[in-house]
Amino acid sequence: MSDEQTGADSKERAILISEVDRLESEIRRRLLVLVEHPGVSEEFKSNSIVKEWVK
Amino acid sequence: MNFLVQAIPGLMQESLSALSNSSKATKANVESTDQKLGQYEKALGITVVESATYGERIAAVAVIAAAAVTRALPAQFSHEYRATLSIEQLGQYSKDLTNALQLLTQLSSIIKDQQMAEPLSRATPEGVLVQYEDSRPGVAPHRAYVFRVEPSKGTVYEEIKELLGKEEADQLVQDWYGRCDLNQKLEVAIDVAIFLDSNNKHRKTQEDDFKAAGTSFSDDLALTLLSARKLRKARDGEQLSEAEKDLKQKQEGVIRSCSGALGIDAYGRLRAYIFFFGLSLPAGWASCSAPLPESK
Repeated sequence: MSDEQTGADSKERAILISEVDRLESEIRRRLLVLVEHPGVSEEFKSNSIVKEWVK
Repeated sequence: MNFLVQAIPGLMQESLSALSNSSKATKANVESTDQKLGQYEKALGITVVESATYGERIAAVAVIAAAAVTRALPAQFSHEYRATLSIEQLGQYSKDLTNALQLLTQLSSIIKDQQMAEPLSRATPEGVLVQYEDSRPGVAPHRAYVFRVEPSKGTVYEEIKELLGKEEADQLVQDWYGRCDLNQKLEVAIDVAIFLDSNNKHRKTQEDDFKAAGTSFSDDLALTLLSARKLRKARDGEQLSEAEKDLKQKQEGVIRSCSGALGIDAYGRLRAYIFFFGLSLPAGWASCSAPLPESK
């Protein structure tokens, strides 16, 4: 892989990671709102994955 | 609870792609919660039984939404793990997250549509007097007691038999003569709003009521169960709240005679409406057709 290609990959990776950070943050924010909502099921609130996200 | 989800293999992959495919329809200005839920269920591969309530449907959707989010989890919290992913894998992860976010956004939207009605958020087992505002503008608030009604022990008949004795329970069955099925069970807690001033029930059929309230448990049945519990409490000499005293005063005759339940003259202005998850009242349901005298 040329230096040029490596540089392009790094840039693409950085963009993707930035996007992933943003999405994860937004998902966490929304899940926090949902688990506080009285209309959301206990099954959802007690879901281990959901708990992991919002802890 | 009648849980309605039929897990299917590969659900997450399928549901996420189905959701993507359905996104156009989702954005197509679909206003009704029912339609939105239906779309969502279809996208998620959820099979809903006919008797499903809104509450149960939302719960089912929420559980599956969590599962969809799950798919994206491995890279979560770990920058080291993330560093091991190829660009293609990162791209896929990003897509997964986008799908999960879309899912959550829609879920939030569904729940937002079913805003907790503020008076109902105050419902307690002892009851509280509230001013229930009709969702239509310019309509005066209606006085109501809101009670939280816990699930029944067995069928309603079985619990009433335990509370009031076989004789009264059997009398109830006889007096209701099929208008109210006491053999139903109340499987989840519900909120009951009892309107003190309203005498004009805007509905087409009882089925419309059930659909609007998100339940097939009838208001008459809920009120009967609630009243029986309060009567038992009174007979046991326990202290009653003001709401319970008033309810007992109004309902003792109903429970004892069951002569048409809410239809008898003395209680003609008493209406019950029941709610799951504090679903708000359909516009116009509790409106008064004419000014009513103050009722206690």
